[in-house]
Amino acid sequence: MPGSQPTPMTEAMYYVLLALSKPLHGYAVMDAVKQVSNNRVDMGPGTLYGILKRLQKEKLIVLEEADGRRKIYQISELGRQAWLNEYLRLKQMVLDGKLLFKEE
Amino acid sequence: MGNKLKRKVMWLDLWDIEEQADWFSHMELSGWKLIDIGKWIATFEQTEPQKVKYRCDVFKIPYTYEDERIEIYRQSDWKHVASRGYIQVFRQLNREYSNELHTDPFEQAETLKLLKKDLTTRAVLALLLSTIIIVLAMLMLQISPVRNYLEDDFLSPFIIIISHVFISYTMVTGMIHMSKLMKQLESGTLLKHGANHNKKRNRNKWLGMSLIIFLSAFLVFNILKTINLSDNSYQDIPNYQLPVVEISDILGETNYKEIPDNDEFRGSIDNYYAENSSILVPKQYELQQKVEVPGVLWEDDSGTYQPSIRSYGYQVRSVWLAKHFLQNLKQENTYFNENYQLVDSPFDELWIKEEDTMIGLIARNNNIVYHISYYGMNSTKDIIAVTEAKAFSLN
Repeated sequence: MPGSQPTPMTEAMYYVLLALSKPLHGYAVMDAVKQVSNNRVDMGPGTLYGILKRLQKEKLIVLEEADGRRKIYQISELGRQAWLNEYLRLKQMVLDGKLLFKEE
Repeated sequence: MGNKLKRKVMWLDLWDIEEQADWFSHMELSGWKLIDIGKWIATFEQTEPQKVKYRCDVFKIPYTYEDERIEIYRQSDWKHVASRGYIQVFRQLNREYSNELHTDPFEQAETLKLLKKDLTTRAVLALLLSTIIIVLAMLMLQISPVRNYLEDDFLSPFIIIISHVFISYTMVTGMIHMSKLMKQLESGTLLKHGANHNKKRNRNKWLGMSLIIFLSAFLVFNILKTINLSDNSYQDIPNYQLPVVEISDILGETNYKEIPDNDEFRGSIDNYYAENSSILVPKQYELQQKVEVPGVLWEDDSGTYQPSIRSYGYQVRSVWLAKHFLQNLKQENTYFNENYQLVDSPFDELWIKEEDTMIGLIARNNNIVYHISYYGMNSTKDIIAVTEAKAFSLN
């Protein structure tokens, strides 16, 4: 099932899906990722392009508009579900981690 | 600054991703900006020396599809400069700030898979082809082992083997290098920028130049040898004493005369003397002699007695080689069941073969080998005696 990721997402994939909650072209995704991660994730163009192509192939994002070189992408329903799964997985991990603090 | 151009041999392999980028940066720091790359040659344009980053990425470049990628890179201040197969070279536009091309090792490992796959396919094909060619070259060495010693026939197969070992070594090195890069990225570590290009370039340059010099020397050697061979037709037998057994050594005081050669060509195929040289046998003497003894008939009264000799003397490069050379001489001169027999003598080895009026002799003393085929009525003892006399008087 392509929507539910069999393995955990990379950090870069997670943030690209998050950034594409609204339609954006390639370069704008980089800025958006930087913004939503509070400047923590500064993604290189090679990394971004690889992720865009892979997410598109796995139908996690869709091409909204193609105007020559500028292509606008947006997260798909499948992508939204995959992102949500990952979000819940990470949240659960954080909750599980609280056990350590309780012991201390 | 004008548009002065400089072309340089890359001396770096496709898979030396970081080294290539480092070399281009180094060249720009020396005042030469990269403008193009061919398969082996990089072209630089003279510029103000400046510290500029170059990066190599891996992808195919059918522009219609990849325009978007180049555009995203350009917007991130990375300009596409040149392509070398799947390697795409980018130059930093904004020296104040520009992000790296790749910031995630796992994503970069994905891009390298393309190069690894391509390299693996080529390496497997090259190794397969090299194996077949090396086996064929080994078989070539078996065609005439004696010619390998005397006419340097081992050189062509040897060069073929060396070249293909070099190709295989390069491909295997490339595969190992790619595996290391992949392993590093998959373990979560980004490639190290600023990898020193000097070591690899110097090593490849040294290896490449050695191969070119080696092949050129082989070519010149073959040309000179061909010229030398064309000059070396049948020379008359000189009057002085030769370093090989002659008919005069065998017939002694007997009155005999050379059989005249009546054809129109220079020299005689029945009476000539030649001196040659090869890498493994630097001194080679060859005598062919056929005479007529007036008033004497063959034992079966078949006509006037005409003894003949083919006599060779060889100074082989070493005793070890001489031993192997003798073995090959024996094998190549053994027909049907006429085997050479080992005979006791002052020589290190003495092998004799007898058949009707023919006596075959192969003898070795240290690194000197004698090979005689005598047709006549003298006994084997006579032939051994004159060979001993000749060999030990010369020694």
